[in-house]
Amino acid sequence: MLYEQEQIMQAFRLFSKLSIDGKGNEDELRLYFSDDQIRGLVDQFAYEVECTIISAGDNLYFVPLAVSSPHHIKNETLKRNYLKANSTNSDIYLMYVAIIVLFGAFYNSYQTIEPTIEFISMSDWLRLLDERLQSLKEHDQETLLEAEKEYKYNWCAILEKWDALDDLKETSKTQDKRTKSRLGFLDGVKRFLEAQELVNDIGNYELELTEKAKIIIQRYYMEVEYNRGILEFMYRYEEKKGEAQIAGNL
Amino acid sequence: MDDQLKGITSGYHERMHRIGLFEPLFRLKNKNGKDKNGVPIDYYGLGMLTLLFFFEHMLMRRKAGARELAKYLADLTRDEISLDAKGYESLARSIIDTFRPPGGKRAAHLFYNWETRKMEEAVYSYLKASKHDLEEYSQYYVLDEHGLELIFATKEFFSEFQLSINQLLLRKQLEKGEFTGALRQIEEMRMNVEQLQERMRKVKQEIQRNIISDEAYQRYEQTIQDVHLRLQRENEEFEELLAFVHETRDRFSYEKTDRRDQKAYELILRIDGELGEVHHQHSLLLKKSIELNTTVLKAARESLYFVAVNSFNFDQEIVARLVASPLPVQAARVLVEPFLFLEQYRGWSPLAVFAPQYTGGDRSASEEAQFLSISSQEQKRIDQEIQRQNFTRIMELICQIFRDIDKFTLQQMVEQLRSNGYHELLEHRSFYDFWLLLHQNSPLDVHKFNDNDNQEYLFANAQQIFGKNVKKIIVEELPEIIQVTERYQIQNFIFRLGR
Repeated sequence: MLYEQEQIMQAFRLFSKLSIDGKGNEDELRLYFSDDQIRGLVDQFAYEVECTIISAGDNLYFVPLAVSSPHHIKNETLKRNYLKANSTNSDIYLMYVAIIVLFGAFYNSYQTIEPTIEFISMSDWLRLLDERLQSLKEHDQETLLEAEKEYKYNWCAILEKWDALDDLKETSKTQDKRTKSRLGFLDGVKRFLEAQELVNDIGNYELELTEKAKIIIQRYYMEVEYNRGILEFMYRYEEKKGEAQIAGNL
Repeated sequence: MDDQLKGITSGYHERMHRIGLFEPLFRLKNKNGKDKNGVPIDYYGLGMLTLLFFFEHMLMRRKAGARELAKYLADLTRDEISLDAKGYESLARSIIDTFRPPGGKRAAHLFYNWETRKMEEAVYSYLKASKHDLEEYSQYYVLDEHGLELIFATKEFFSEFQLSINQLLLRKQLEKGEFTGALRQIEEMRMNVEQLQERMRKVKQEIQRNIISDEAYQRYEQTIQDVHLRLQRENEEFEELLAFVHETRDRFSYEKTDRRDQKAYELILRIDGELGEVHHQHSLLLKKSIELNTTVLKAARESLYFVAVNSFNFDQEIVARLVASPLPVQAARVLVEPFLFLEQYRGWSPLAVFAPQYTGGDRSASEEAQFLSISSQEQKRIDQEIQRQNFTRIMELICQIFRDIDKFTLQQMVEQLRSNGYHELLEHRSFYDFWLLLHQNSPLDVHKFNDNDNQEYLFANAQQIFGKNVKKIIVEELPEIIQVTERYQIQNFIFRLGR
C-alpha cells in the first residue's frame, strides 16, 4: 500500500508517544480513528514489537501481547524497581503468580463478564494465593522439578520460598517489601500494580481494580482472537507434557 | 441533637411497615421442599409469581383459586420442577397459606418503634377470600390491600420516577407555603440527581470496557434514549419549578411586612438558590447523556474490529490451569504480560555537552519546569485564600476590640489581644503580614476594590466588617519599635478608619 509521507510521520509520532506512556489521550484517540491508514500503520508498528492497541472510551492503551518478546520489561528492571534488593527470579515469578491470582479473584464466574467482587482485602488475596500454592504440592516432586532441567527456576524453589515466610512478621510494625513476610511480599506486589495503574488502594488493606485493569481483562483476555491465543499457549504446554507421559508409559 | 437528625425517626412506623411487607416472601424462602427428583423448589420466586397471578386475574376479572394456581404453576415450571398434579396443588396451597394464614389471624410484623418508644405491630392482609363455588367445592381468592401494595412496591418505575415524584411534591409544598419541607425535598432531589450521575458514569464505563455485541448495542441504545427522554422531561419540569419559585419570591419581596413574612422570604431565597444548583447539576446530566450516546456509537464501531468471547472465567481458565497442570513457571510471566510495560532504552547523547546547561539543580527538562510553574500558581492561589481568611479574622478582632474607636495604635492592640486571651495570634506570622501589607497599601480605599489587584484582594472583606461608611483605612508609622514576642518585633503603627 502507498502511504503519504505525512501519514507515516503522524503514525510514527503517535506510536512513539504510545510506546513511551503506555496510553494515549483523547487527541491521540481522534487521530487514531480519523485516518484508517494511520490506524493501520500504528497497529502494524505495535504488532512488530508484539504489542497491541486497545481503544477504550477516551483512552488508547498500548498493551504487550502475551508472548515473550525481547522488548518486554526485563526481570532485572522489575527487581531493581519494585522488589527488595536481594530478590531472585523466583521472587519475580512468585509476583507473577500473585498477580494472576489477584485477577482471578475478581473474574471468577462464567455467568458474567464483569468482576464478581468490588474489592479484595490483602488477607483474602494472601489466602487465595496460599491455597493455589498449597495445591501445587499435590503434584509429586518429580513433576515440579521437571522444569528445572530446562530453566533455572522451578515451582519447588518458589514453594520453598513461600513456605519459609510467615504470614506476617509480628515483631515489625509495618508490613512492607522490606519485611520478610508474606504480607510484606504482597505489599511489594501491590506497589508494583499501583505503579502500573492496575489497582487502587482504597484503604483499610483493601484493593480495587482500576478501569485500566478492567479494560485490559475485558478487552484483551476476553477478545476472541487473543483469548484463543492465550488458551493455545497453555494448551501447548499441557500437550507437551501429555506426550512425554505417553512416551514414558511405552 | 441536630434538628435535622431529630427528623430521622419521624414516620418510623410507616417505613417499618413497608419493610415488613416482604416478610412472607422471606418466610417462603426458608421453606425447603423438594420435588420428586430431589431438586429444591424455588418457593421464594413462586411466591412472587403467585401474587402476580392473582393480580392478573383481578385485572381480567376472572376467578382464581388454589386449583387454577396449581395449573398455572404446573404449566410454567414443567421443565424445571417435576411434580404430579397433586404435588402442584399442595404446593399452591402452601403458598396461599403463607400469604393468608389458615387460622384467620392476619400476618403481623412486630417491631420496636424508636419514634414512640413502644413495641408496635404492623398488620398485613395479602389475600382474601372472594367467592366460593359449592358445586365444585372450590374457594376463590383476590389480592387484598397489602398484596396489591407489595406488587406495586416491586414495580420498577419506582426509582425511575423518583425525581418526577419529588418535583411534584415540591410543587405542592411550594403552593401550600411549606417552605421548610420544600427545602428538604430539594435535598432529596439533589441526591436523586447524584444517584443518576453515578449510574450514568457506571454505564459509560461498562460500555467502554466491554466489546459489545450487536444485541447489547441495541439494548444500550434503548436505555440511553429512555434516559435522554426522561432527562428532558425532568428538565422542563425543573424550569417550570424555578419560574414558580421566582414568582413566589418576587411576590414575597413586595409584601414582607412582619417577621413571619421576612422568615418566609429568607427561606424562599434559599430554596431558589438550592433549586438552581440542583437544576444546574441536572442540566449537566443532559449533556452527559448526549456524550454517552456518542460513547455507545464509538463502542459499536469498535465492535467491527473485535469480537468478544461469551464468557471467560479468569480464575478457572488461567489461574487453576496454571497450578493444576502445572504449567512451567515461565508461563506465569507470559500470562501477565499484557499488564506489564515495555522496556525503554534510556541513553545519553555525547552531544548533550554542547546543549545549554542548567546549573540550578538537576531539573533540566523544560517540560517539568512548565508543569511546576502551573502548580505553583495554583499553590499561590490557595495560599492567598488562606491568607485572606486570616486577615478577615484579624479585621473581625479589630472590630470587636475597638468597636467604636476609629483610631488606635498597634501597641494598644497587642495589649488588648494579650489581655483578652488571643495571645496565640501574636505567634502567627500572618498578624505581622497584615500590618506590613496594610502599611504598604495605606491609605487603602475600602470602598472601591477591584478584583484584579492581588494585594487588595486580601482585604476584600474589609468593607463588610467595618461597615459601609468606612471609606479608607490609614496606617501610619510611629517612631518606636515594639518587641511583641520573643520571635517577632515590629514597628509601631497608628491605625485610623477614614469615613
